[in-house]
Amino acid sequence: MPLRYLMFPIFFMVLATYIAVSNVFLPKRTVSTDVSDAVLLPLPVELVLTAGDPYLLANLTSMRTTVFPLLFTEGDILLRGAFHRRVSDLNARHEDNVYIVNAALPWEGDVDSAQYVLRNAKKTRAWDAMPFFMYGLNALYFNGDVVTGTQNILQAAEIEQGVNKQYFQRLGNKLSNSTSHKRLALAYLNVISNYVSNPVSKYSMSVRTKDLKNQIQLESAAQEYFRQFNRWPESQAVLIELSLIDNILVSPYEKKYVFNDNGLVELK
Amino acid sequence: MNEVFKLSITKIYFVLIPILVMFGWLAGGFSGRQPSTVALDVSFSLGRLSLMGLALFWLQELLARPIEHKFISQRLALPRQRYHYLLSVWAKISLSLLVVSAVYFLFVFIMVKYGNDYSQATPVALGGQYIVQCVLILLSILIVTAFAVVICTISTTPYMAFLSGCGFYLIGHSLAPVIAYLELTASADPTQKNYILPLLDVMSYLIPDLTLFDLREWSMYGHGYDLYLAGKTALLAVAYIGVCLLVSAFLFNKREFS
Repeated sequence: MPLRYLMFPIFFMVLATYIAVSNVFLPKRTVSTDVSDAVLLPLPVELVLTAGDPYLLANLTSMRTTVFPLLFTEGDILLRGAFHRRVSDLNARHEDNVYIVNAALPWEGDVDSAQYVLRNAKKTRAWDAMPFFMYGLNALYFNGDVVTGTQNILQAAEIEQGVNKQYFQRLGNKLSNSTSHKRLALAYLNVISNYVSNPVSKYSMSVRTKDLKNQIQLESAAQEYFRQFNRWPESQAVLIELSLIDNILVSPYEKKYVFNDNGLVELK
Repeated sequence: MNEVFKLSITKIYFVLIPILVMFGWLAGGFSGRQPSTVALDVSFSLGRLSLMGLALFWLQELLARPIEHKFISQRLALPRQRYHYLLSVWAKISLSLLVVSAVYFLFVFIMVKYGNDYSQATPVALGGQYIVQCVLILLSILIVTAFAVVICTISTTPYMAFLSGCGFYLIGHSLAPVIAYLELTASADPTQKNYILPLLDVMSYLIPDLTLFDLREWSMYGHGYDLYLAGKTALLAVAYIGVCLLVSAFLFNKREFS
């Protein structure tokens, strides 16, 4: 019998032996669930691997983000942020990417990635109000930046044509008139800073907290001044003379605090 | 064209079309908010890649194999200029590609239009935008084919045209992003910037930027629709194809077949 008739049986016998040996005698390989196994290659390399097709690469990367195990460790959050940024670089209009990044990452401490993706989406999805609204809301609650937040929510109200228009408008107007939003933002920051593990975000949150505390202190002093003289103070020096505050407060963002016509503190 | 449709690779591709369209449909299933957009997006990518491979296989069968196996001399025995044969092969390939891609994109159209009943916030546009993108994909593949014809007329190695066509496709699509990455990204390696960037700049004059033919966001998101830009891109393709065919006709007339 020629050898070539025996080729298939021999091949399968060798294969079966290999499988048996590797499964029975060798130690079992543990399947790692660490997310650092999910590697993100440099962008030119990944582009070449998908035959130079950025849209296909964006879709594949977006699919990879949906099948990630959620571990909520620091590395996990950073890596997921990098994936979402990558998708945004390749196809900034990708709607799923925008929604997933906004639903997950800011609450886990990576506000910057979410805002990066949303900023790109704002530029490219100019007909869509949701990126503006999400960006505004994140700026408001996570960064304590009421001015940017209000601006973006009002922009969203301009773009939106559906049922949400009046809600956006109402929220934007309320925010631009309200004086209690700084206390609200501070309370929010205090709550969420307990759940943040990323040191960079934690530091930026502590700076924002300090800034907000300064502003709240100045505004309450200005209200006391208004009660006495029926006009708003021009500078902090007036408040020190009346010993409403102890010393001149400086913003941690290396800017000066200035009172506007409504007695609210602005950064200059 | 009959010659092209008799090839087994063409028959295999017709079987492959529903499978590719199904891949696109399944990819749409990964998407929560825009299944039709993702399905259309992946279908464009798969279609472009597979049609490019198909066109290069045809070229391999109709031009490279006769040259390699020396029976080209029989085909050139007719009392005509040699370049007639070359241009007829290219015309056969482009017309067949038109037919096959029309079938593929019709399947994709039906899949995207009726495959999903989820009403998206930003629906896909399957009108003029879709047709413009299909035509641009076809033109970008014809550019690759015309370049492969040039390689075919000078190469003496089998599969040289196929491989160089694939390389051309890859470089044409990656050149502009890589140049942008090296020029604009601060973290890019300075050594690469000094040595590779001048080379890439020279290459960008020889190889057209095939990413220009990718205007699929018009169709995918249904916003922005600029026929003037599409026309300019198509003109670039026609000019490049014309130059390639002229060069290949000249080289083919000069070539000696032993």
